[in-house]
Amino acid sequence: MDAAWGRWVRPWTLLAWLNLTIGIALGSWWAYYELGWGGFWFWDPVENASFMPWLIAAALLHSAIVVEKREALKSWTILLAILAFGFSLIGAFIVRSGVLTSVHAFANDPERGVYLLGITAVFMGGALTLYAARAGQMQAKGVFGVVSRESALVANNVLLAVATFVVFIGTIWPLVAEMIWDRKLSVGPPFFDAAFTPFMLILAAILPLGALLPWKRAKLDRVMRPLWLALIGAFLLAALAWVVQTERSLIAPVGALLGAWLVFGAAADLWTRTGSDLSGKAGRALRLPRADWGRVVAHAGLGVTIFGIAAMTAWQIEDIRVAQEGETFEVGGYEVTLVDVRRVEGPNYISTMAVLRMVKDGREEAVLFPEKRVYPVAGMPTTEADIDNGVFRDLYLVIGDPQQGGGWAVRTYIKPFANWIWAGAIIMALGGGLSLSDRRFRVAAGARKSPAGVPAE
Amino acid sequence: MIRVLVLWLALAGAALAVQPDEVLDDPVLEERARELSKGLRCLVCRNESIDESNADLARDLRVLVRERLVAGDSDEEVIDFLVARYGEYVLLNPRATGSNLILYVAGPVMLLAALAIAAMYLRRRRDQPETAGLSEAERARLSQLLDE
Repeated sequence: MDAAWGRWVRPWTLLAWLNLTIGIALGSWWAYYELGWGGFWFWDPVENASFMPWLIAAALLHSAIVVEKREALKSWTILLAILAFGFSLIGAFIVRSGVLTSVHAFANDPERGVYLLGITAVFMGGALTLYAARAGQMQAKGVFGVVSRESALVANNVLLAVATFVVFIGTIWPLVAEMIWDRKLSVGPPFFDAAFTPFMLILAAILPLGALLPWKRAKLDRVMRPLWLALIGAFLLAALAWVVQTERSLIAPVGALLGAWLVFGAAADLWTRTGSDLSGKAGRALRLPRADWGRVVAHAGLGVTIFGIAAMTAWQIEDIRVAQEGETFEVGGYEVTLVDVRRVEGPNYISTMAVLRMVKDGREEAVLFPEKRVYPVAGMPTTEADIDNGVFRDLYLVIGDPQQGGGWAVRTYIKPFANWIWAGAIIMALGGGLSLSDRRFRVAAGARKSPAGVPAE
Repeated sequence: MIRVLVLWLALAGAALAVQPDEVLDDPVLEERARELSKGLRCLVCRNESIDESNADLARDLRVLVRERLVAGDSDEEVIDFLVARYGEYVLLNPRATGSNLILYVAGPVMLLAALAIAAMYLRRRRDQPETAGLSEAERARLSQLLDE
């Protein structure tokens, strides 16, 4: 196993990782649109099943670079590759066997579960046995100091791996507790929020620094030089977030700080890699390897997602009330008018459709038509929220039941920066795609350089 | 027509999470009720908190939480009350007692272990001599090449 292996394994991991990134983003987007109250992540076992291989694959992407460039971390990288595949199999088992209750569980079948568990056991058992037998034969070559890019990537791997472990133990804990201690319990969002988030905060805090560290050995003050401006800018934005908000919560300022730090840090990364003289900087930027662009774009995307999550969590405004037809009420600076509630007959459902107008500063921002549908055959009521998408906020309206005293239950949500969550994920995937198109991954890319038919001497 | 519609909706019986008639007049109490609801599991649902669930039981529990708060219970008392009734299954954030301690210390312990391993690894890498020199076979091959 050598540097070439690190190079081979990267495009495969990248492709899998970027597809998983898009998949998770789509799943989260679906939940936001469909579940009727605008949540985007529930720490549901099925979501966790997709998230764990994503985290491990992200770790693998980074450690494969160390193998490729520096021939170190070899056996660890192999272990990560095994784990990434293993978690995918475990995910399939969790989702399809019905061992854990989930809102997304469907097509469950215990028999299939046994089969899936068998596959998981065979692959993981085989892979880990081989690993245990042969891992000792892998020899690390690279030597590096404690302050170096290698160390930063080790830190990345430690954080991602432990974060995955935390998600894993939280996901299977209800099962373990019931099997061993006969305790029937739940592990839900409050636990995961508290146990998982710190890892991501530390990761985001050290990421821009790590991305700029040179291989082998580095001096921190030199690496920080191009980053000071990014750090100051991030703190300014965090201060701005603190000033504009009415809450006393630190969530949004910290999200702004880390998000901006990642985006500005990525910009500083690009800046330092294009030389010191200004003329021709753009040209040099365009000629940078695609892998460099991929890194910069993906890291910035993570920053966008972090800020989106923090801003939406901290600044969301929710209003639940009974409104009469024609009534106007105020929510977060918007004047909301319930214009009309009509009955609409669909092909196979009966719908109660509300017409709501949202006005801000005398200007009509949106007219929305949330629905509540009943499908007589299935006897199932569904709520169809109507959303006005915006760069800075989503207006999210839901119509509820008619009330006994007249009027309708209306829920109004203003969700700041909601779309940034998924935009960031798409940017991350785009970064993965850029990295994937790097010249060094193309077969025989090097051969094109030497002119054919011309003797060397 | 409207009456038919109302009947339809009544039969369907679906309420959407927190209803206007459940909301308490006191915004501070209501805020506490919402926070508590987010940490309580809807027992008949797949995997939802009572704050987000449409089920009738979730509604009953939301109302119950608010009744207890209005009666002057502290957050802990409300939770204790619900756990006494429904068991710890109702808690989305499991209690850090008994075997659950493993769940809570697992992350930090794993982090410390990983950091220790990483530190050992980094030290070993740093102290390794830059090049190990040539092996016997390489030396022989080199002299062979030089002789040619």
